[in-house]
Amino acid sequence: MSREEIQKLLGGYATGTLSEAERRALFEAALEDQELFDALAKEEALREVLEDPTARRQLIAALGPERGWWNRMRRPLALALAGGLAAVLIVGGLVLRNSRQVARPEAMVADAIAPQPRAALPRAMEPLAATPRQNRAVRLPPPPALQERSELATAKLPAGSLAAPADQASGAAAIGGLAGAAESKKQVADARRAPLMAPRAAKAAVSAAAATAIPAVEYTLLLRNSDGVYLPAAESGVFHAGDSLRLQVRARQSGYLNLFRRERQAGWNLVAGQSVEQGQSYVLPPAGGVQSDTPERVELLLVLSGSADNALKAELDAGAAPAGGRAAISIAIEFR
Amino acid sequence: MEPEQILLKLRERIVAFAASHLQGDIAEDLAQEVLILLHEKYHEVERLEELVPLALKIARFKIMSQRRKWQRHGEYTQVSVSDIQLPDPDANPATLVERKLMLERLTQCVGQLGERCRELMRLKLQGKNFGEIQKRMGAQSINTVYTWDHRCRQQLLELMGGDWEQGNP
Repeated sequence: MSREEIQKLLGGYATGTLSEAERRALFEAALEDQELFDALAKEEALREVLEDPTARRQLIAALGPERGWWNRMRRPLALALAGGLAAVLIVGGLVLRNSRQVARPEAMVADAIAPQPRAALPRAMEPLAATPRQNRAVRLPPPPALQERSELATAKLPAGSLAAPADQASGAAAIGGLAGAAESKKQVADARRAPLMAPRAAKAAVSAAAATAIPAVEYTLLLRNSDGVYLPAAESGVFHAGDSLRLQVRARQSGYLNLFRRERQAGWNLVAGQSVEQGQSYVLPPAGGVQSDTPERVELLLVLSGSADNALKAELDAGAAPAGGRAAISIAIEFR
Repeated sequence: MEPEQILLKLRERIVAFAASHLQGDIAEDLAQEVLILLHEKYHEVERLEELVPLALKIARFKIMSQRRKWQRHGEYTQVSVSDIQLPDPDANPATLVERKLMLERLTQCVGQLGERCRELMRLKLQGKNFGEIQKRMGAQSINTVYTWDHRCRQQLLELMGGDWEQGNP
């Protein structure tokens, strides 16, 4: 790549658009070229803003409605294709019309023969019009009962402090939160929809009701893409072994947030700890990510305390619920 | 390129970059602090693709932190390594306000871009790479997309007054 070409890659740095090879080419060139390095450093401010998924959504909204199919049709190639298709349809129509005219005498002969009583068709082949209207309404079977249930939600947390019944709050969703009863109801709805939305997909089973109603923490699962950028995972998120995830969290009150991961042998391991301010977003863990190299169900626990909480791990390992003014969210992620 | 070579080059670049924003001797100290931080807290980061953006981020925070201290106290105080908490950039209210202002300006400006630039920007914000954008926009080659993107970036930068941030590195 020439210097001019590499400079054109600058625009892709802040948005995380560059491929691995493009990033390498850009950074190598920047190490040799002070002007390019300075330009890259200036892009850093933009990159920080665009790291926030909320900011991205705001900008996408500001860009206006997406170009519709008619606008795409205005492109020359699309017009050429549309013209070609129209020509094929016209020619096809003419050929069909001519072939019908040839076949017409045969039809007249057939009309002259007395009609025979039609053999009874199997029920499945009967025309729809013959079927009573009420019989055509197909009642969908109820969704299968939810099987994934947070052990923590049922066993460890005091029932009185939950924002929603524990058995209603597990389900597949990439976005979770604990903003009270209304939000819990939405999570239940998401959970019930999940089997229909992604019947074959390996999914993130997020158990989100295991927390006190106040204070609350909201989180969004972020999935690392091929460029190493963490972006919000789709709601029907499918995670595979090797995927790397982070949580974007927002606390409703200031305090200290701990993210734990349950290990089979070692109990609860602290993944990240972060002092948080009310209403501000943080990404946990700040470096690396939650991942699994093999298919497994990973259990996470997000706990908001009033201050740095050294005793928490020992309490969790002992099977105690995070109590005493703490809020906790149990998150189960299934890697397939 | 070996990690040591990368660090040497990085130091050279950071000193020159910082010198254009701060005094010369402070720029030297700042570059040294960036390297110390990289060594002490991020010694496992060795790949060029990770090291360069991380160094840029730290250098930027150092410069901004230095400027704020000057503004607040009117004096120069050495910024210690532990002053920088990279995992928690949001904790600084000034940073939050700057980001919010920048986002507001961006929001106003992106709407003024031409149709192609808006489409390109949308796809970039949706996480598409240049190869995917080439297909979606029906460009003949990826170089065409690079050129479009370069022009669109220039256009947006001009709308923003020539700088993403006003007065910061």
